[in-house]
Amino acid sequence: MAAAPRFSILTPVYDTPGPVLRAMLGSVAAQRCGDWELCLVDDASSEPQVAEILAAAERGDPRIRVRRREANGGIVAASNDALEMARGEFVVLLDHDDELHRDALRKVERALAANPEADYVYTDEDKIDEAGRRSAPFFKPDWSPERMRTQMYSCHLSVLRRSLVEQVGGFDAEFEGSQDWDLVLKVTERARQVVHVPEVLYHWRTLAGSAAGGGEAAKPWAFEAGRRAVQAHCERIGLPAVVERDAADPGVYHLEPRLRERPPVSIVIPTGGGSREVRYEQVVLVVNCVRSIVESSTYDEYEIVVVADGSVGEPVLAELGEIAGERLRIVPFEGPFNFSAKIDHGAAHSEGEHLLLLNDDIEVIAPDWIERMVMYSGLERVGAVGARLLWQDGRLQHVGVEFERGLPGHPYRGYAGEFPGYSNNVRIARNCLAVTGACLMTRREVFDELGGFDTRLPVNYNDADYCLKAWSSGRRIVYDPDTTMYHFESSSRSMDVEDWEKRWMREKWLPSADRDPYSNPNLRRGEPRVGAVVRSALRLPRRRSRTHLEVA
Amino acid sequence: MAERGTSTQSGAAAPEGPEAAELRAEVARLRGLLVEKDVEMGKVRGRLQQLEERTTRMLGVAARLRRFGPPFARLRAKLRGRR
Repeated sequence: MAAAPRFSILTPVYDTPGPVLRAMLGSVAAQRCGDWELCLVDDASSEPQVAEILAAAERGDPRIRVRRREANGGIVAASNDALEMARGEFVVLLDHDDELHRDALRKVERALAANPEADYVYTDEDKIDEAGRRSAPFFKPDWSPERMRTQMYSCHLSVLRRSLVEQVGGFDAEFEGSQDWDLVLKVTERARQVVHVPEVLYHWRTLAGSAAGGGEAAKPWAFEAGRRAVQAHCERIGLPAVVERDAADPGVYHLEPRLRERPPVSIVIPTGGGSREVRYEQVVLVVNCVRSIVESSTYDEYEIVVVADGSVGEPVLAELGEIAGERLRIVPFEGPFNFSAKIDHGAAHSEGEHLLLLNDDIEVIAPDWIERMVMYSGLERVGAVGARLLWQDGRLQHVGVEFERGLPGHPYRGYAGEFPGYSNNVRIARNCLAVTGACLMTRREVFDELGGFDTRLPVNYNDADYCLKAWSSGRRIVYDPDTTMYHFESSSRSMDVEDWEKRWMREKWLPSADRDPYSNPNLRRGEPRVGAVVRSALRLPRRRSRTHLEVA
Repeated sequence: MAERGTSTQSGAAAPEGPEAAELRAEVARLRGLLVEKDVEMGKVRGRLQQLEERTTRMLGVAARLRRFGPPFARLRAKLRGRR
């Protein structure tokens, strides 16, 4: 068994209030893991008490080392100085006014022992005020690269393999204020494995002027630096996107597609030619859907493959032809209802490099919806891309699937369209285990490799099953909030699922989908479990001390 | 999957003339009003659902805490007795 790693805790210090600085030092000294060193860099503090406190700490413990800068150089310079001092295998980022949970390093050490290839480990976190009161725990998902591009969610506590940090050049002054986000992006681009410890092991101090307490007003430049860091990351990995900041929330970012190529897309729409009332007008759904695609889409390289039952009347087919012209391909389908069979049939009669599966009761809202989906679908490790779907009254219908005990569910279904979700998870792009087949893009090569939709699931769960197949093959599923569509599924539609379908899913996918890696053991249906929040605030241990690990 | 619906409805040919155009415009205006109201209602419905679910969760927690009632009550009584 390999020896436990040494942790080098990097802490730049600048004019920290005495009690807070002592609390930080105390939280390190209280670690129930022996092999650490604390690399403190005093960035030329003007408050004399800082030097006194640091000197006393250094005298009291040989594991604490202090360097004083002659001139104030800012957080990046001080962090790089601390990195220079580091001798451990892993560096731990700790801000001068925050606190570590006393088990933080022990639990990270345990995670590293179980995952020796891990190059980056992060944990859950919460806020702590000046009086030491804890609140607002942030229960994070396991490693979610798409989320990391639209929100710096891993944040604290971050533990990175030192050799990799040095390989990428340490902290980059170009991204001062968001240097940690930039560093994590660079390290994870090369990391063999990323591990999440779903326990609150870091307490982020909310002081006036700190990013935790003050939002954008506290450090306006930091959010812009974050945008640039993600932009640079997109350029490094070849993601064809421009990064933009959210108008309302400074911590939320959006990727806008800038495709260099426009690969052909086949939009496959199975239909029975049904009609229903939409906005107080009776419409043939497939006609409404195709019209919205043709009239709204800015992407031009697409064909529309309508998989039509025998019940679809000639006038409907003629109207589709008038609307879509040469883009349209009608593929007749015979036989009893089987959604999976219709999808597979349509895919077999299409030619695009990407398949865009669409229910006929969908209506396009975002004109660049195809570009957006291609932007993600074109990434090699992405298996499927889904959208944010709204009912016609604007309420949320679908924002990615969350699994509970092996079965898929729709978090926030029926909530107001503006609802941001827990930690903005409705408003940011992120990974999930599955997205609905009502609007799903996948590359043809992936579809073929996975054998398409499983015809043994004619009605329910065929989309979730497809996504789980993609996920099991090492690919990610992406939810994109900015691909927004109307889904005219009735809000009172029965969600009836047969018992045999549930059994089928559980037998096939448990235990891998027992615990959704993109949720958190402390969340249920997208919201924190009350018990977990109370335990966190009262500093009680988790009821089950299972440390759940997930690989990249 | 809404595609299972089968009925289709073809619209009757609209009458010509300015009066018909006015009527169509009025119908469109009224539909627009209804859609706006639906969106307003959707916001309220969505907020209501969110609060109802939160309430249900809190009531569940309260019920669980009540199960710990007697020990807490005894502790409280002891503390009172010390005063």
